[in-house]
Amino acid sequence: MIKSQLDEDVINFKTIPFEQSVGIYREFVNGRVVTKLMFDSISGEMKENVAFSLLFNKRFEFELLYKLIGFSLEFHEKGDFFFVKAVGVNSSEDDISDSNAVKIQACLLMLGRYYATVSISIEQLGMCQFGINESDLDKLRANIEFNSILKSAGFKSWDDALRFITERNFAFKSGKSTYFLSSAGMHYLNNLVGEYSNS
Amino acid sequence: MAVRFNKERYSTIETIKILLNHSQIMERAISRMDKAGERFISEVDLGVIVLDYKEKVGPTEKTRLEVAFSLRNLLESNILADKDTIDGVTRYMFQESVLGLFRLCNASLFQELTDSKLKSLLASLWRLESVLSDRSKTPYGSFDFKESVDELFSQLATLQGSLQRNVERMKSVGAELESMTTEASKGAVAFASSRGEYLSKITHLFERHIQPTQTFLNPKTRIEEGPNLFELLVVFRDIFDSLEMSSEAILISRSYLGFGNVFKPIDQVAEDVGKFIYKTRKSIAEYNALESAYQNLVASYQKTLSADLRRSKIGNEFVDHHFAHGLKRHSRPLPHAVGDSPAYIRAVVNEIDTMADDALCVDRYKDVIDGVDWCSTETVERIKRIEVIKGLLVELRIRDTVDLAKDLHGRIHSLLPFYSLVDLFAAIRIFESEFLPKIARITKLNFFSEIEFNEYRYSYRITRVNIISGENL
Repeated sequence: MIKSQLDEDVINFKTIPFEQSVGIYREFVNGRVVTKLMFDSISGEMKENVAFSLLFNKRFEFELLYKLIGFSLEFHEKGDFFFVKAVGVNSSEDDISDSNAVKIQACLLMLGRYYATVSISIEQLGMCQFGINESDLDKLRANIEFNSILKSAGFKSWDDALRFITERNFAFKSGKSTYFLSSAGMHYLNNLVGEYSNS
Repeated sequence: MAVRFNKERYSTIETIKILLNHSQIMERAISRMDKAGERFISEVDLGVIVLDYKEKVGPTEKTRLEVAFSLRNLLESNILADKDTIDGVTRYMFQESVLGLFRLCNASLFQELTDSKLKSLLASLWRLESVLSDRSKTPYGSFDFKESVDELFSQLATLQGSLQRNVERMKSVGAELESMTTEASKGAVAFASSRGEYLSKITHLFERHIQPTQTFLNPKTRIEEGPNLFELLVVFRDIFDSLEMSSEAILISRSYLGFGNVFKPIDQVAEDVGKFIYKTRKSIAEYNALESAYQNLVASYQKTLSADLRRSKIGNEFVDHHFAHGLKRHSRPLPHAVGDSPAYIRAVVNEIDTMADDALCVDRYKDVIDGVDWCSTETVERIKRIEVIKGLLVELRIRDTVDLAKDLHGRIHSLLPFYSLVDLFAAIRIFESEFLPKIARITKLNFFSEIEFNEYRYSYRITRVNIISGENL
């Protein structure tokens, strides 16, 4: 695809603001996903993420840029998020991304499973006015099975696990001890539901 | 079932071991009996289960299974309590204790405590209470009294054990709800037709098993016929207190607390099941999907509980490889700028110094090095070669390094003629096992790096070295 787009008229790096591009690069190398909407803790509401818009509008440029430095820019259409992965990684590096996948997915899965038992719909897990609150956290912390799984996934506690997924933009922290999932986090759960219903 | 006329048979322990090693057979047999509500299984049914299972195992295990499950072996090792033939059907009755063992290992095989079971347990406690409190019929110290006290504690222990297992069983109620409503969640038509069916199943589970247990364990419950469990325990404690039997009184207080602890999880299960009944089709679909995915996660987790102690981290069996695959922190290129700080200059001078030293010691060793045939594969020559490397390494200055292999590789590859991977192995081994332990702390890191040799790349685990005493060898 990139090859056919190599036309100079289409690929134009000049129109990409330098600072925003640097900001995006920083997000990616820190292992974060860039989601369409971000939680703005000052106004307390979801806001359009300029980094996402830039990535989306200049997809060909960014795809080429990251390809040239050994990454592939991945876009999850249903989950509305971007991330990069290294191309041609060796096995030891793959181990780290694998353990990340275990950590992120185990944490999201337990949150989703808990939410499905206590509420009408998991949809609210991704809404900033609902999500997980203090009393939910108490119940999660009291669940012995969840705790054992967290430990064997490499987390110290629920706080550690929530910090891990929040740092990577799979969830947002909306208050002192309240959290909700981002479109990326919700996409994982919705995908599980979709797959189960079709199986 | 396929009985082989084989003289061999196993002892009871050995048979139970085989049964436990292949626990699926007994688990299937037990769930079959429970489903039918019978206390026996027909010879044919058991035979089919064993036959099915045998497909999966190797020839040695197959023979062991055949012997273990032969009628003669089962009878002689007392696994079977009885066997009878009615209308030409041979039925096996297993020992209750053998079945109990399997129920213990697999929570889903445990039978729920029903209302009537709980009531009969309570009734026998009432009887003991009347016996123990009537001092005229059973005076303190009489045999009747002693036996009743023993009976009381064994009853309480049984009750607590079965309640505990019941709670474990109910904690897995989520998985059960999922399997009950799988069909219902798949489509609108299926939902309408099967809703009534699953609702009645859930209501049965709730009304006949969860609620009675909940009521039984609730300290506030009032029962027409007599005191509830907790009131009874207080009565028993007072009896023992008045007789100055303090250790018995403490035991009773302890079981009071124990029963109280069981109440909370049951309450939680009841709440969850109650909420489930009000769920819509969409939310049941979500619930089921997450429950089934969660069971996969639990299965991955349970693998970490196996006998293999090396495995403590959860595996990736449950992971969806299409979701954000390959996401991780990436290292950014670091600048290789020339610094002007004193520390930087010291490091550079140090490096040059070391290189000069290394070169000088090779000069001293030149004759020895030339005396070895470096291309030979003869053992004698190889030993000589390692001796030379060792002599050379003694002369090398030992320093802190974050990656021993890379450091040594960089230093000796220009020093030795026909340098090869084997030399690096030898050097690392000599350093790690002979030189360093006395003066440095060696740390094997859980990170890997790569080294290149003749167009091949080799991966190795990084070793870090910190010199503790400043002395060189």
